[in-house]
Amino acid sequence: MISVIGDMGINLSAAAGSGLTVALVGWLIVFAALVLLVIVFTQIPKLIYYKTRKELKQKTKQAIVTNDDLQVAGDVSAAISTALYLFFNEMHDEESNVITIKHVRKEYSPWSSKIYGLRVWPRK
Amino acid sequence: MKKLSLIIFIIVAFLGNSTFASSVETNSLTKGKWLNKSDGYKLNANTDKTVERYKAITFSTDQTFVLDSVKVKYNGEWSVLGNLIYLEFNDSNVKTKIAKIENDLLVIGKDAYNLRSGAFAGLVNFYEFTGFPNATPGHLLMVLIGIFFIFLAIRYNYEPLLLIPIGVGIIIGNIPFYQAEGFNLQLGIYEEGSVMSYLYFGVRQGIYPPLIFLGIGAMTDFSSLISNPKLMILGAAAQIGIFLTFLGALVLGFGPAEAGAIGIIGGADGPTAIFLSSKLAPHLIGPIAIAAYSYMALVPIIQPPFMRLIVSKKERLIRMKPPRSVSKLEKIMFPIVGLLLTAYISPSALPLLGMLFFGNLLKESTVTNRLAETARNSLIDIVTILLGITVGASTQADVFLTSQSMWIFGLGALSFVVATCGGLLFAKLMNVFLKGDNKINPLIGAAGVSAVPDSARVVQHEGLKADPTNHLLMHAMAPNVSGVIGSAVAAGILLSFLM
Repeated sequence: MISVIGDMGINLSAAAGSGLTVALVGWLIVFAALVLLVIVFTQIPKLIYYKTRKELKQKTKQAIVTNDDLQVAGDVSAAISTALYLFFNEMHDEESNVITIKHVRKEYSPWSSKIYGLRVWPRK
Repeated sequence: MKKLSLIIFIIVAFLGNSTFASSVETNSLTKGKWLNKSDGYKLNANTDKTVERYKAITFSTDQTFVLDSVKVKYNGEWSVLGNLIYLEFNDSNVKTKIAKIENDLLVIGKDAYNLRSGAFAGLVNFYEFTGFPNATPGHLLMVLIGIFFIFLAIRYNYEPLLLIPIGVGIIIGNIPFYQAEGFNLQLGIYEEGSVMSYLYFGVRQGIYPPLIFLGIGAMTDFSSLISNPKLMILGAAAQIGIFLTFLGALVLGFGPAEAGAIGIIGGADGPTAIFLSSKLAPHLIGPIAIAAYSYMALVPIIQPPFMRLIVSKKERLIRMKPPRSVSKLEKIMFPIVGLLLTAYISPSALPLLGMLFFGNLLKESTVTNRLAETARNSLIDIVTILLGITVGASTQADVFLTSQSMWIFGLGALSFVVATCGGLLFAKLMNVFLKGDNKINPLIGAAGVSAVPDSARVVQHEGLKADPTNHLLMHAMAPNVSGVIGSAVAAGILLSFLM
């Protein structure tokens, strides 16, 4: 089935053969790649927390240790992080609380002398 | 008798030429420049369109002349015999031409030259090299489009970091200048040796997209995706837009490689679209890149109607479980494992995936902060500027405004719609199998089209419209970034199938 719009032709048979195969297989491969990532990243936490889960099981003597026992929810973690950030931000160095006054002695200089100022009436 | 009359005719004709007819005055030849404007000059090798161009002949008193045409300058010697002027060219490949003066015009073959003063000829030459005589309605239309892009970016804040460089690039690329086949002013992006052409090299050879991906990797937090890996599938579902558009382009008569390059617009990822089209259909980079980036900027307009159409009000109210916190080890493992898995499945996408995961490892390792900072700030900014301005400039009207480009724009819009619908429908399908608080809000399916982070932002916005306390942004980021991985994998697959 071929018809022409402008200088482009509409050819349904062009998509029917290898085109359809490429599209279908291509999409399935994209799916497969991401499904594989899903499987791997669903299993990785189980491997990482295997030891912790075992230890927790022994300590608490629970039959089943759920994910909630092992992991902190993101919002809880965000709240703790904010609290820590604010705490460390407000901290400052400890001070001795001893207030001292340092005596500073000025050395004489004719440049700052009041004797030789312009407001002194010249002696005759 | 016949022979006699022939001899008399030749003698009369000869005498007529040499004695009775007025001979050419040499003063009139040399007192100015002889100008001719004729059609038939092709703009460039890729088009059949012809334009009018000037030619000038200057006769000197020392019996030499210069014929200055568009492409070359010819030198030679002239001589007068009766009313004919013989032009002998120094270039042995050019035959001697005979000219004559008729009604104050210098006639050489079909071309007639007007005598003008040197100053006038100079002005004509200057005018011919300005934009005004070379402007076409196409140039003006493209300049208006460029201004519209800038308007959208400034007025509505639609992807300003992309639309401003692209908009200015469109204006730069459509400033008309003197063009003729075989004549290179080294100005336009398609002229060899021009500055714009050197900058465009990074687009043509697919250098900029991997560098952009490096920056994206260094600024992306994959923790929402790692905490809820099943949302990654939504990124795969939305890639249906790529493959259906590929079929659509085939139906419209595009070749398989061209169809693949057009299909990737559905990936809603500018760098991936440029990377794939530079490999599969370099002549279509301009329209494909412009379509991809324009529709990415228009995601807040394209997606919401389909989100409201497909997802019911009740489904839009679904609250999702907050994501768990992800350990540093998981975050470090993700780029390494992700790279190994995806690159083994689709090695053709290695330049994109390799850089994406490399950038992410720079960020998550926390020991290469300086490199990560550079990748996500300075480097990506520089490359974005170069990419935007050159992609914009590649829309030179005489190359860009074709029926093919219009079809590409149509297919691009369709691919965004199909990808959005694919993600939404798959999210609804997933909900059939999920139970209790594991159910997902189907709106986040729309974020699977990549277009990071715009589509996730649109999801958040639509979610808040349904329930002002339901924040979906973090959840939407998971399909959003998996869409980036999915479209890069799809690009690699199309590349290996079609190249």
